[in-house]
Amino acid sequence: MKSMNDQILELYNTLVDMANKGDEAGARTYIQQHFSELPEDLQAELMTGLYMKATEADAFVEQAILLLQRQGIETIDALEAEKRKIDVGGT
Amino acid sequence: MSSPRRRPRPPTRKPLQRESPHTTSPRACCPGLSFLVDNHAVIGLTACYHFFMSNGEGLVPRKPDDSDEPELPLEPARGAAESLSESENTQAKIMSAFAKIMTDVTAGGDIESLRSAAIRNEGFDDAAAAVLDDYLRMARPSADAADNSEADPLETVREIQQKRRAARRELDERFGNVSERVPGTKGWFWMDAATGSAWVISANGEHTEIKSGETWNFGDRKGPAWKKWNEWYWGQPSPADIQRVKSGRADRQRVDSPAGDGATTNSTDNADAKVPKQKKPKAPKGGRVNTEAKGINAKEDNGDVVEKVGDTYVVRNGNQVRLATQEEIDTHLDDERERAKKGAPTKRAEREAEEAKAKKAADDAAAKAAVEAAGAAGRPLTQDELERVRRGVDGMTERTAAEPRMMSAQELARLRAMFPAPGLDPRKFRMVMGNQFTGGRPGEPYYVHEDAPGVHFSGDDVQNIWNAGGGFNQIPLGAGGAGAPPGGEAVAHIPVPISGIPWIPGLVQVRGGRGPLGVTAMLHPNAPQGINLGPSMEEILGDKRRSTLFMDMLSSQGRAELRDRLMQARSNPDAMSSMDWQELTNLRVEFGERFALAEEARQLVSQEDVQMMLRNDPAFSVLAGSVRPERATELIREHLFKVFMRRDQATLTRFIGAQQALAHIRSIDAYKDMQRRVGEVTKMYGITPERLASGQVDKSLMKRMFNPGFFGAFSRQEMSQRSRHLIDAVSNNLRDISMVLGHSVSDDKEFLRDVVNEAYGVRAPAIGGREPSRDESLAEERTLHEHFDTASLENKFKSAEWRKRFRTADGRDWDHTPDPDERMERSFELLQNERNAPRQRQESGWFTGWLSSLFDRLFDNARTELRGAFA
Repeated sequence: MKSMNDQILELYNTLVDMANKGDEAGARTYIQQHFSELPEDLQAELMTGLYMKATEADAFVEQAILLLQRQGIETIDALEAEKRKIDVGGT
Repeated sequence: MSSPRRRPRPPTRKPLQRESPHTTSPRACCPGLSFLVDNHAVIGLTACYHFFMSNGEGLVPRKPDDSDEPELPLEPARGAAESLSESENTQAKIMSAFAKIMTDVTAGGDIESLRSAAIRNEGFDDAAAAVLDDYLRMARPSADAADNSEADPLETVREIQQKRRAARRELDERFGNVSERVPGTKGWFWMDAATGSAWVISANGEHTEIKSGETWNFGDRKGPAWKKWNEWYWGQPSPADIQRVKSGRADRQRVDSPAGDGATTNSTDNADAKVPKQKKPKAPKGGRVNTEAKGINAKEDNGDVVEKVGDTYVVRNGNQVRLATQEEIDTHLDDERERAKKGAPTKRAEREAEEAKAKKAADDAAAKAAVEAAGAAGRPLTQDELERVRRGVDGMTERTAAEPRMMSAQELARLRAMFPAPGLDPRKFRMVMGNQFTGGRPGEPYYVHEDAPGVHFSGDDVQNIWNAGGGFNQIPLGAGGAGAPPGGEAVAHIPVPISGIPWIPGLVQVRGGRGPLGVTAMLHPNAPQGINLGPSMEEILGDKRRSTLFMDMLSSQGRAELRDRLMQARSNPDAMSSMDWQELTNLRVEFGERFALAEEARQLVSQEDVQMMLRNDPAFSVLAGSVRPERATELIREHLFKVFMRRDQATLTRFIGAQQALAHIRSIDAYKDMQRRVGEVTKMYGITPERLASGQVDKSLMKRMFNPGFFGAFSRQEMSQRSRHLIDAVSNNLRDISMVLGHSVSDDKEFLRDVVNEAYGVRAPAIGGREPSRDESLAEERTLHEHFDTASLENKFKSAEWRKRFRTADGRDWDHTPDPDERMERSFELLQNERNAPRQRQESGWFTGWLSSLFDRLFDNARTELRGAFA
C-alpha cells in the first residue's frame, strides 16, 4: 500500500505533467473525478492545506476591503459636504 | 520704466465686514487681537499660532480671482496640533487662552478667575503666564474702553479707504499722476526721480518712501512677495536682505508695516477694500518687547535668563518672569550666535539638559520610593505608585534603547514592581511566533505572560522563571519596541505606548508590525496569541490521540530513533537514557504549544467559512462538487492537529493570525456598521451591488482607495478647485466611489482578490531581490514544471548558483546565514515565491494553488532529508 507521501507525490507529478501540457481543464477534471477515490486521510490533508491558504488570502482581502470601505465612506461624506457648500454658495 | 503708465483701477469690491458676537468687544482699543477673540470659537490651536505669526492677519493669502472675503484660518481636520513645535504650541495655547478669557470677560466673567483657570487648565508655567498677562494688560483697557465707545468696523474701513485715496492723490500730484505696477506683484509705486526713491502706500493708508537698497514685501507673510528697490527698478532681494527686514535690523518702518501691508501697498485692486490690518505689538528680532522695562538686564550673569516662549522673549529670574527689553533680546541673540559659532550648546539647551537630569533623578527617586513603600507595607502598588514606577521604567527604556545591556538590580526591581503580582505563574506563558502580525523577529518565537501584558520574554527567560518557580530573574534588556533585537539577543520589552487610535474598536495596533493593510498590524488584546507549556509527558503518553500526534511530531523532526526508543520504553524502561528523557522534556513543551495552537485553530474553523471558500476560493472551489461543506469542515477540523505537528511554526502562527483576524473583523460592530453604511451609500446612489459588473468599476480608483493616504491625496487633488466645474467633478467622484463601494460588497470575490493583490503588489520577489532575465525566467518555468524530487532539490540547494543567489529578507547572503534551519526555511520560501510569482505563472490561480499546496506538503516531508543540504 502506498504511503500518503507517495500518493501526494503521484498526484503532484500528474498535475505537473498536465501543467506542462497546458491542460488545465484536464487537471481540473482529473482532480474532481479522483478526489473521492483518495484515502480519507489524504482528502483531509489536501483540503486542510487549501483551507489554510484560503484563510490567509481571505484575511488579507477582508482587511484591505474594510480599509477601502472606510476611506470610501469618509471621502463620500467629505464630497457631499463640498457639494452642499458649492450649492449654497451658488458658484 | 517704459511700461505704459495708467491709473489704478477704482475699487469694485465690497469692503470686508466682520460681525462681532459681542457687544463689548475689545476691538476698539485692541484691534490687533479682536479678530482672535471674535472668532475664538472656530479657530484651533494651529490657526492661533498662524494668526500670531502673521502679525494678526492669519488669513489665507488671496489669489487674484478670489473674492475679498478672507477665509478663516480654520484648524486642519487632522494632525493639526502635531504640526506645531513645542514652543509654537505654547504660543498657540497662550493665544487661544487669551481669546477664551476675553470672550468670557465680555460675557461678564471675572478676568482674574478666568486667568487663573486658564493657567491651571493649560498648565502654563511662569513664563507662559507672563506672556498671557501681557496680552491681557493690552486688551483689558480696550475692553473697558469699549464699554463706552463701541467701534464701528465699517467706520474703520472707510477711514482707511479715505486715507489711501488721499495718499494716492498726494503722490499723483507730487509725481505727475504717474504710477506703475511693481512687476510680479499687486502693488503700485511712484518713482521720485529727484531722490531715486520709490513711494508706496501701505495698507493703513500711509505713503511710505522706499530708498534705494531697501526691501519691501508686497505679499503677506504666508505668500510673501519681496522686492528690493534699486534706484530705478525693483529687483529680487537676497535672503540676507529679507532676513534683515524680518529680524528688524532694517528700518523700523519696514517692521511696523511689513508683510501683508506691502501686499496691498498701492494696489487699488484691493487697497480700498482691504480690512484694517490686525496687528499685535511686534518686536524686532522675532520677539515682542517690554518697552517699559529699564536698563540692560540681559547679562545673564545676574540670574536673569533670556529665553524664547513661543515668539516672545522673556527674562526669567527664579520664579520671576517678565518680558525682555529689546536690548536684552539683542544681547541674548548676539550671545547665542557666538555660542553657535563656537559649537557650544545654547544656554537654553544647557538649562534643559540640567532640568532633564533633575527630572530623571526625581522620577528615579519617586519610582524607588514607590517600590519601597509598597514592599514595606507588603501590598501591591497603588495606581499612582504604579504610574510613577512606569515613568521611571519608560525613561529607562528610552535611555537604553540603542544599547542592549543587562538590567541593573534597581531596574529589575522596578520591572518587578510594574506588575502587582510579580511572581509570574509559569503556566500562564504563551508562545508567540514573531512575524508581521505580532512583531518581534520574523520566524523567531517569543513568549508573553497573561499577567504581564506587552512584555516579550525569551525562551531563556521562561526557563529561568520556570526553574525559579515564577518571578523575574535577570533579563537582558534590549532595544525598545517590538522590532528585532540586535544580535538576536533575548529581550524583555517594556510595554510601549501604542500610537494612534485604532479605528476598529478592540483592536490593538502592534508597533513595528506591518499587516496586510500596509499599515500597522492589528491584534485583538483578548485574542490568544500563543499557547502554554502544555501537558506533561505522562499526560501525553497516557492519551492515545496525543501519543500518536507526539510520535508524528518526532517523525517529522527526524527523531525517528528517539521515537522508537520511546515506544520500546513502554515495555522496557531502560530503552531510554537520561539524555533521551531530557530531550523529550524539551520536545513535549513544543508539542504542548503545537497541540494548543491546533485546538485554537480547530475552534475557529466554521462551516460557513468552508462553504464560502468552496464557493469562492479558486483552488478550493475545484472540490465544490466532490465534498459536502459539513464533511469538509469535519475533516479539516480533525486534520489540523496532524498538520500542526508537522508545519513550521511561522506558517502556523501566520495561519492562526489570519483566522483570528477574520473571526474578529466579522464579529465586531464596526464591521457591521461599515457594511450598513456601504449599503446606505450604494442605495442612495441607486447602485445594486448584485447587478454591478466588474467592468463598470474604476479599477484604478479602487486601487488608489487601498492607499491609507487616499483621502488626503484625494482632497488635495480633486477638491482644491474653485470653479463651476467642481460640482460636476464632485458628482462624478461621488458616483465613481459609490460604485467601488458597491462592488466591495458584491459576490465577485475573485475580482476583489485580484484588485487587492494588484493594489498591494502581491508578487513574490525574485531571489536576491533582482529581476531575472527572460532566459532565467524560462529556466525557472522549466524548474516549476519538474517533478518533485528530493535528490534534485538537494542538488539545487547545494549548487553554487543557488548559494550565490540566496538572500534573506534582511539582505544576508548564504555565508552570513550560518543557521542551517534558517537557510532551509528561507530557501523553501524563495522557491515557493518563485513558483507563485505571477510573471512565471502560466496556470490559473486555482492550479497554482493546488501545485503550491502539494509542493508545501512534499517539501514538509522532505525537510528532514534536505537538512544536510543546508549545512
